[in-house]
Amino acid sequence: MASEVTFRVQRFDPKTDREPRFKEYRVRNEPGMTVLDGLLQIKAETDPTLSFRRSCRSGICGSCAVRINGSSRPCCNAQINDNIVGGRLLVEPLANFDIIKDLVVNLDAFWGKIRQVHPWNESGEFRHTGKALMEVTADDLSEIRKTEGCIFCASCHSDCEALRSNRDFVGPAAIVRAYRFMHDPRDRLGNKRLDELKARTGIGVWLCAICGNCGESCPKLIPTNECIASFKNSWFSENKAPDGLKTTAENLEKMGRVYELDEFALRMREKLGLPPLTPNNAPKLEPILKKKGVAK
Amino acid sequence: MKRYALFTGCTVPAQMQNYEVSALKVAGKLGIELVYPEGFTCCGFPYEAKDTFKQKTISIRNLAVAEEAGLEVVTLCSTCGSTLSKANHLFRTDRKYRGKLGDALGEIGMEYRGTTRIRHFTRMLYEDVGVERIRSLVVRPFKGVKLAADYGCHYVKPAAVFDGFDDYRRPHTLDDLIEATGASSVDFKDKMACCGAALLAVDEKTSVNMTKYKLDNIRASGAEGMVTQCPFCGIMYDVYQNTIGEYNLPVLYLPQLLGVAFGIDPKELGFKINQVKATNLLKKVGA
Amino acid sequence: MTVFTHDVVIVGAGLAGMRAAIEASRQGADVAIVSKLHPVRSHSVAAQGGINAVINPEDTIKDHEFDTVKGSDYLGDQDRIEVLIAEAPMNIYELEHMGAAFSMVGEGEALAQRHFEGRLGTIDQRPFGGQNFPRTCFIQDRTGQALLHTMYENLLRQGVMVYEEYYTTRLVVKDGVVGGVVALDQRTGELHLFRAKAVLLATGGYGRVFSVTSNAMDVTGDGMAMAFREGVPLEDMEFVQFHPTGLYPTGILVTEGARGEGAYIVNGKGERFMSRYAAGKMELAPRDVVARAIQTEIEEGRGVKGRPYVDLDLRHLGCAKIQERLPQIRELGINFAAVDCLTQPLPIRPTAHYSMGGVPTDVNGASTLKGLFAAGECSCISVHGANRLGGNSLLETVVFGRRAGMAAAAFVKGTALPEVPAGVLETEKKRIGALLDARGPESVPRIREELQTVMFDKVGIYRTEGPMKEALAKARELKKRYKDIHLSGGSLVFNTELIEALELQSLLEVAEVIALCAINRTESRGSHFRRDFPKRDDQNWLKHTLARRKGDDIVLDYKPVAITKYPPQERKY
Ligand SMILES: Cc1cc2nc3c(=O)[nH]c(=O)nc-3n(C[C@H](O)[C@H](O)[C@H](O)COP(=O)(O)OP(=O)(O)OC[C@H]3O[C@@H](n4cnc5c(N)ncnc54)[C@H](O)[C@@H]3O)c2cc1C
Ligand code: SF4
Ligand code: SF4
Ligand code: FES
Repeated sequence: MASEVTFRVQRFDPKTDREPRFKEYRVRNEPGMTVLDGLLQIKAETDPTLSFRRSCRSGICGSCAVRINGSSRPCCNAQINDNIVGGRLLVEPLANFDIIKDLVVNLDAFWGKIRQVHPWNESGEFRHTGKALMEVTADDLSEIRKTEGCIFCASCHSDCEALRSNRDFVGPAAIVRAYRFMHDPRDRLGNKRLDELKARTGIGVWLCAICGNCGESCPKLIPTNECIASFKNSWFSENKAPDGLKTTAENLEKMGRVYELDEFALRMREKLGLPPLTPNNAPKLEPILKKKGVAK
Repeated sequence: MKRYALFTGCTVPAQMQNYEVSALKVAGKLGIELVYPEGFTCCGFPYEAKDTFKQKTISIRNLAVAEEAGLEVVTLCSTCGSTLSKANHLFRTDRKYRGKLGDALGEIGMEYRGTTRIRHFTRMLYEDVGVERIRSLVVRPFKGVKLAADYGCHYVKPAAVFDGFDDYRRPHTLDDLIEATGASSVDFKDKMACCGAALLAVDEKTSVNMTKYKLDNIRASGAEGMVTQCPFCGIMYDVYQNTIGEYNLPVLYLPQLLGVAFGIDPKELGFKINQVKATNLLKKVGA
Repeated sequence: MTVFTHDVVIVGAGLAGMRAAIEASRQGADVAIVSKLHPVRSHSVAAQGGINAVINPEDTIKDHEFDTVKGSDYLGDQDRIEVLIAEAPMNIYELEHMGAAFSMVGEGEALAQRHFEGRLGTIDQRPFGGQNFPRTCFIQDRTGQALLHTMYENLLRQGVMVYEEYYTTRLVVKDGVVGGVVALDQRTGELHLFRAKAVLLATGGYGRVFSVTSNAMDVTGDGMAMAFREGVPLEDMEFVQFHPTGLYPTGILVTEGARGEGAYIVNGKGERFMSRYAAGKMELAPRDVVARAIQTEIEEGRGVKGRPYVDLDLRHLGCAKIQERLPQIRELGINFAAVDCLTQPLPIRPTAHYSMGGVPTDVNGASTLKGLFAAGECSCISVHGANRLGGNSLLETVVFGRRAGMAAAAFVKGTALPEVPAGVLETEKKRIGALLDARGPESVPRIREELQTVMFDKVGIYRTEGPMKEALAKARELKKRYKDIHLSGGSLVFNTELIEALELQSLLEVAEVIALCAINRTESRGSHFRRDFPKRDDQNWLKHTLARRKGDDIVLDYKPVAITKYPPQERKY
């Protein structure tokens, strides 16, 4: 049953390499083996100089995320057989970070961003007596549960399209963490945490390009995009949205469309023989949009 | 004759009529009728930042319109497709949301039962027409032409709402359709990179950097043209291309490519609207 | 090479280390943590089941005490167990105040029935092995992760300095006083001296001594080995808890939940063999009983397909029940073994799980070496005695982490910075340098594997004098062979080959101690099961083992067990 598979692994030693290079290894592949098992086999039997992070091997410590065939994820719960493309398996370090060595990247920026959102229960005190402080509803808890499972693997940052072009972006993981505390009724920092996020990260959450990658990479199925949208909602309600987005939303309110069907467009449509459209859709949406307040 | 409700969204009818007209022409050629139900509005996407719940309500309202008309929805814009599918998925799987959305719709005197099906135009072609049938209709093969497929993020993401269609990490359906015309769909670095359109109104610099990243990678692949299926990608790669650099990379919407391959006169396919002229590319196939 | 100075240096950033750091810092000490892993990667993250405390009015402190004493097979020190149990509730509330969101009574039902608004006021508790009351608080099935993250976040809030990914290579001791540690910054490969008035070890257990373990790859007993080399004794090292259901081949943990829901354990002949070992409780018998039963089946050739595992079969529970009640177990099988338990049984075998032994301390974490403290799994207080009760070890990390932090902070007040031996950093640099230049014929992975295998096979679940002596001889031989290892050299930047070589030193050190202590204890107690001495022998063995290094030798010594309220009885479930 055992077969062989080629691991193509990115290597980089800052002392000797100017650029990352690739090295190929043959790995004995038995059913059930994970990509981490493959790397461990390489390190034990073929090339002890290969460096990578790993600890729990059970998908919970978040150490071992790498890019497998271009997509980021912890490698200890990735089956080799599910990840062979064209007879081989490509392993690269997480993207959007500087490489320290081989598959080990410098995560300082990642942790720094997590720290920026004050990821703690701000009103928490060290009280040793009494009873549970927590007076939560099931709804509060379900919001916390949605996000507290993050294992800080940084896969989402690695796959983030916005981060690739702008490393200042606070990134999805910190936003997820902020969300977790925003929905904790014990916490009193609330909006201040939002403001911090804004003040310290320029335009923070607005820099998300809505590419959807983070939600797909997350091994813990955290609804990252929902968290991001929820922050945007809060800021919109405080009139703190970027002007461009305010205009778009206003257009929608005014015309039921984002782009006006102006003279030019209408003429073009006619010339091309396209069916006529109602220029103003606002009346259809008015009853929905005029409702006050942000619903949950 | 198969009928679908065409959900044009906002961008296509106002700015990317080339996409719309070519889709209608190609559909006609394939014996497909695309109807425009009265009642569709914006899919709601731009409102996600302001009020996610209202955004979902807008989406569901559109789906209710289609349900009423008894038609399956086909979108040209990937973002419309993903936005509507997300709302639909939520409505179908989350009881809490379903109740709230139902109430909101009830307040405006409408009802949705959750039966509407939404697909992207490309997906409809792939699934209902099929690559083989499309290949068989090609009269101007793009033999030897190297094209770069641009899927756009929302064609396949979030994967959970597309019930297993294509592989969001390494999709192939657009490539398959491109290759049905005889062209070869080239591989390039970070093929699924995002165009950055969503950031245009927020931070133009980052947005344009993202566009540039992909254009550079495509140029490095030696592709002679790019095939897209999302009007936002179209804005970035076609409309903005000249402000970013000299790429001279024509950007075609998939139905434009198919239309030419099917022998339709390019004039009828709205090529006038394409900013980067595809003249040389079209010449190669004798159009 | 830099010299850093702090009042208290804490080695290890698991639950115990971080809890200690927070406390010492709150008491005003200048604290730094030195950890080979980033704090949230520490092995505490893997704990699933929960943490024990008497917080239900119907439960009693006495019951928790008794369950713990009985679980320990009467080897736990009862005065310390009393502290652990008495302080448990306040520590749970404290964790809750810090931000941990414990699972609440009614949470699951409320979500299932979509009632979202009502307030939930009570922390939920689940039953856990060996206890007569459901007193295990939990956070879904990832208690350790949630608590570790909460602790890390409070560490950030407290502003404690963390030197992360610094591998501590040795303790610095002069004239019987500890004065700091030397640590290797893995990122740069540089060695640094950390001077301190107090050093607190919180380096976790030694599960990696065994070839099959539920423990993370970094659980290598470094702290214990470090202390041992400086003449600090190690206590009760022969006691290692084996969990019955480790996933084959790696040993990662399949939770008890599976058996709780009614899974069968079946051997290669298709027999539900538990009927021969514990006909009454079958699969639900205590951990050690099930672990021994599985091991017997495997050793007697009744493993599945002749391999060293048996089947954990869930199929009769039906797809619906598995998907609803045990989704994580299904995911685990698919992700880690490519086995879908809906259609196939999961391959399992016993796995080394918890290290009862460690650095002996008093109830405030102080060791026998002046200035050295220890807390968490690397310490031996001893509250677990011969066998730890599930849910008591997370408890131990917070209760005694807090106490040790407080004691260390008090200790450094008015204490001058101890002197360190001249040139200690240079000496250590030479030692590491020599290791990096080692070009002998032996390989680190091979020695490690031989060690782990012999320890699992011969000093594992079943122990007998003959094989154990072979294992001891083997461990000593491997120690010699280690002198001829081969390293590739090269750059020191994130050189994990070097780190693994250093970790192997710890494993070799600890393995020898375990084997020796186990050979000497001629009785069976708790997790220590001797085929040649299958009975507990209170007459001769109601005492703790202390092992101490004397030059090349290890000498064994014993000390009495503290018994306050609960005189030894037979341990029956
Ligand atoms: C799979 C599993 C499930 C468990 N479930 C439960 C449960 O449900 N309930 C329960 O009560 N207990 C459980 N336990 C036991 C419990 O998790 C551990 O005993 C406890 O978390 C140990 O915490 P610690 O802080 O002592 O050590 P760890 O969390 O292991 O931390 C050790 C720290 O020391 C550092 N370190 C080690 N060596 C060095 C060095 N040389 N230099 C620098 N730093 C170093 C590491 O980086 C790490 O930060 C479980 C254990 C396992 C393996
Ligand atoms: S959706 Fe936004 S945050 Fe997530 S990966 Fe894309 S750009 Fe980054
Ligand atoms: S949000 Fe998900 S992908 Fe991102 S760090 Fe957390 S667990 Fe990893
Ligand atoms: S090694 Fe811990 S998540 Fe993979």
